[in-house]
Amino acid sequence: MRVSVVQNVLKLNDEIAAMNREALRKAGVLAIDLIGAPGCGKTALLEATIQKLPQVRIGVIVGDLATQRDADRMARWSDQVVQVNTGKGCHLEANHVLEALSHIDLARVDILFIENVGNLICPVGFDLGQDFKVGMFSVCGGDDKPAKHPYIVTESAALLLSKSDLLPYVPFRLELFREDVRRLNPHVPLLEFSTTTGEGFDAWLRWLCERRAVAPR
Amino acid sequence: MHELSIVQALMDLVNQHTPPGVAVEAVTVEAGPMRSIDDGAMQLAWQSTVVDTALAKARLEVRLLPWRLQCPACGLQWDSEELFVACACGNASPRPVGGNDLRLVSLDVSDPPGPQAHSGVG
Repeated sequence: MRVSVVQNVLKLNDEIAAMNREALRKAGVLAIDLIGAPGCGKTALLEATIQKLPQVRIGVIVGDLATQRDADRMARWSDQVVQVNTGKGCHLEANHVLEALSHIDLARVDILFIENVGNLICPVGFDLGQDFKVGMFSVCGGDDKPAKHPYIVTESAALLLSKSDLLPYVPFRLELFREDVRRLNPHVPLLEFSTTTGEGFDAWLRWLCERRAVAPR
Repeated sequence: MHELSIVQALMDLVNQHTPPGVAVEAVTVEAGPMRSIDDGAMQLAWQSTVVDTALAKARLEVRLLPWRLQCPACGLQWDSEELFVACACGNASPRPVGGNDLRLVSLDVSDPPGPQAHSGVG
């Protein structure tokens, strides 16, 4: 006998994510799920962002399989940083964020970054309760990554391309990269920058502050 | 290996939707291509998750859905195995529509025991 069900497999995750979203909105916090491959510069981006926006109180939940190192790096700039170790888990799920939120004083946070486990595949499909997902590529990662990882491109409210200062030294076809992104998500802001030289960084900060102004309250 | 998390969520969902007194023989899920689901990884995750549970004998059927593309020039929609293909009208940049489905579709269960039901395995 066949029983028809038709249910979203990740229903429970999505219900917990809705609780997180509710708590974050009530506290007036803009939440961004930052997703990118290992080594693309997610933590460096957040360190630089926190330092360049001293007037904005930035909190971070950072996911890694192991170690406290990323939290230690960012704790130099913010007192609202929580490290989540997922063990074998290749992505954060809504219940990780629910638990981490109990260690964060949302009244002292304007923008909360959730730095996901370095991975361009698994994190995309799990709602955490964020306002926006932001996908991040680096020029060292290769120009084919948007085409190979379409889900992060279509789901992102902005896409970042880091380490732009290395463009002269790596075989990266910027036009192809942009074309693939446009095909999947025609209007997404594509922000190219380098945390080392600072080029392009203002556009990222501007985008972020604009989102903070328009985030649902 | 997001398949493991997905299978764990799936197992809970199957248990919630299994009518009382029946055994689940097969579980059918559909996954859109955005999800990057690998059938082999799903099967391995399923086997290692259901072992020693009431679902140990249940088969998992994974239906991997094709891309659904739409041409921005002529509006044509069609299913495609490939994401980056040109439209028949010549436009080189058709765009994917949806593709992020991930749903439990149905359960095949043993017939519920009636007054004269046979006992034992069927």
